[in-house]
Amino acid sequence: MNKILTIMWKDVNILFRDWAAVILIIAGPLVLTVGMGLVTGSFSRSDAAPSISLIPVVILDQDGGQFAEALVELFTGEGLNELVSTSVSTDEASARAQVEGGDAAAAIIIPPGFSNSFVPDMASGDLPDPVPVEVYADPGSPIRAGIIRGIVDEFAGRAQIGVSSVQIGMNELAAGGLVSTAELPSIGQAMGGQLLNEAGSEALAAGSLIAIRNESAVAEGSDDFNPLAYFAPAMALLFLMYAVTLGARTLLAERREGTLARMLAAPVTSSQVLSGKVAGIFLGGVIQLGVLIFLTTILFRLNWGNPLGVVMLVLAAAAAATGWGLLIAAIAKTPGQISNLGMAITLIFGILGGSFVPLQGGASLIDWLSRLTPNRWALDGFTNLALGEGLAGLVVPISALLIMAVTLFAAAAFIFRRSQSALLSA
Amino acid sequence: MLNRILAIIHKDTILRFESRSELLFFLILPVVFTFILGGGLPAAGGDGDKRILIPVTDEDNSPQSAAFLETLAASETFRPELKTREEAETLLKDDDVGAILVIPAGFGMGLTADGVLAGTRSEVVLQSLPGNNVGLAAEQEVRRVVAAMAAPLLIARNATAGIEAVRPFADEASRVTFFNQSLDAATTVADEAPVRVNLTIAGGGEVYDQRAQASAGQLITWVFIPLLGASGLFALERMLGTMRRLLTTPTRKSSFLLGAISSQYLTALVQMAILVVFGIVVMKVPWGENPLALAVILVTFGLAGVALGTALGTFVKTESQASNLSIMIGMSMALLGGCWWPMELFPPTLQQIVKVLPTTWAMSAMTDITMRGQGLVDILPEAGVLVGFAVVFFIIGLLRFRYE
Repeated sequence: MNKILTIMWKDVNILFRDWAAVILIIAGPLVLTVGMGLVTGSFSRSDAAPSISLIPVVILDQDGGQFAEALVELFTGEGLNELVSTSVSTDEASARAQVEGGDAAAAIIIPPGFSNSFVPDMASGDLPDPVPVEVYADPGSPIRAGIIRGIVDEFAGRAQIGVSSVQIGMNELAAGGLVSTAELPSIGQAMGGQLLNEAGSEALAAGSLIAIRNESAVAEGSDDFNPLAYFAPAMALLFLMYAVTLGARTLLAERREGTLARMLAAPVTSSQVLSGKVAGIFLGGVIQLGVLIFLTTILFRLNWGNPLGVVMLVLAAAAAATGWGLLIAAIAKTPGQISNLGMAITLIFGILGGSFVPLQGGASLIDWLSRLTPNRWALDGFTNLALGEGLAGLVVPISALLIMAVTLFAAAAFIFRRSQSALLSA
Repeated sequence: MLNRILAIIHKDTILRFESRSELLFFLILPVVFTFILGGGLPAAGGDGDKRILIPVTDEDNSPQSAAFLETLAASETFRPELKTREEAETLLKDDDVGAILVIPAGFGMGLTADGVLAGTRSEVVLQSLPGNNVGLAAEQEVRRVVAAMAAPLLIARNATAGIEAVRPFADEASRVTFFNQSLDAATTVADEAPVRVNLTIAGGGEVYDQRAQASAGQLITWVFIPLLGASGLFALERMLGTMRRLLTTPTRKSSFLLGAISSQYLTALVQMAILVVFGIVVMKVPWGENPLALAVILVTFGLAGVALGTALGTFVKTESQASNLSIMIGMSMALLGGCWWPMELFPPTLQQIVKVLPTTWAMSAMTDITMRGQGLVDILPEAGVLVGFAVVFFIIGLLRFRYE
């Protein structure tokens, strides 16, 4: 056992004394986690709301009517001043140019006749032909432009509801003979005035009938979910795969450099050498994850969840990743091949396992392929812990990781045994 | 001199592609990443339906909840699928979906004549992981459905209230009758409601082109990292001593440097050309609408990348340092340059800060070309900045370059 531990410590020492490797497997995930934190605004806000704010928008009023003024007021008023940053323009070409250059997410162009198109003819009750407001959107800012369009849609919808309410009220009154025809215009004006004054109120708001309640998937009693709780493990797991391939690389490198032959000349069996090296790969992965968890906890005050669950998950994830590292070592013929294959598999597992971009609601093929990666299961587990779930939330991820580890260890052992006792016979 | 430079280019190209595994990083992985991130794979279930799955739990089972689902099913973005609450919540917790929708019991009651006139408010529950963009988009879509469903009811309610203010109804029954008559008329009016908002897209393209974002973003990422990796070439030659041997031949130092840099640069241009063709042919990204603008930005981006690689090469001591640093710096710059996530999602301050990165300018120019349909004049500022980066990095590299 001592011999196995000695070989294990030797490999771990070699791995963490290589500053180039440490840069990639420790600094790499930390830097990318900081990047993800900046991108998602995780460092600059106290809640977990989406980071979209101060959307640059240009508004141009060519109408000057009551509805147009109300729309301009909506965008320049205090109600939306955190969401949008509105500039009022008087030049259509300039407004469009700002969108085309990507300086504004959208331009709202209110054409002449917009307000009057909401006012029914007093005699016939008919509405004039509609004069739509134009939302000129930047295709490079689809989400922000969509939000602006949604606000304009809601405004126009409310105005339309107000107008239709008066129209239908008048029609029903007239049809039922409840009032004389002469009284209709004054009643209509009174209703219209009242609804217009309430333009921002409950009477015209869809939310007064159907409320949308947003709920977080965070378990009750736990802290708000910090997006870093997703990205920190995502990046750590991405580079865990590379860390284990660096360890696996030493299996072939030692044979090539002749140190394996020297080791076997000592009083150790080949199985002790192999066990020591596998343990070294595993421990290297555990240390890499452990250091990253420690650093992100200290630096970003990240709550990883139940400590026992975190430890169990780290061990299971490192075991599964070690299995992949061994399989790569069993298949590859040179240390260079292990490095290249390892980096390629690291990146492929990263994208499939959701380390780069969460691929929810997406493709079934990706979903199935992701189940082959330790990244996906371990990330599921870490997310469950961060969402406040206890150890019960780890049953599936840890089982999957352990099954993966056992299967890959067996496959690697089979290939090693068949293809090259040469590895250990040196 | 030209022959020597060409010989060095030839030598470096052979060295780089000596191992077939180089093709993984040069071609296969960039194509795979572009395809996956560009939404090239079929969605889960749905028989080729690429809309985002949103599990819906209908706990009300009323005509109103059925109407809500029917309106949601017409969405261009989301594909609702009925699930039990447990199934839906499991999908959300397992990160298989970004949001789920629950229509609670009692939803329909609030939308009947009695419910509306009594001021009862129905609700739907949207569950998502905080900060999740799918949840954000789902909320927009649910708002659209709510607005469509509520419109006739609001019209009927307002008409009833307006009339009541002028001529109170004789009793509750006549009030409800008036409401129902108004609702029939309002439903027709709402169905025939004129278009009040026109959405037009700058450049005439689609609102959101995930393929263009992925194609441009992955091109930058996968070309930038090996360009930075050029730094490893100098370290390797220094370590093996081949640089010293080369300089014993009648080859000027400048020829060596030019040859080494040109080799990486030309390889990057070929790689970019292949990825652009893949983008056009497979992903249907409109790369080719302004070929001159495209050529200018690819050339200047390549220059900025290889110049940064040259500068980096003067700071690293070993090939593995260069390799690992180039991966870390390349990935970080790609992320912060908007190559993985659209820049619009970044906080406003960060959008300004990341202008110090060449990847930000390259991505901005490529977005101008592929999404905004802009031409040469429009991307000249970005091209100018990239040339500026190239000049600065080359100067740093040349000042610090040592052959030993």
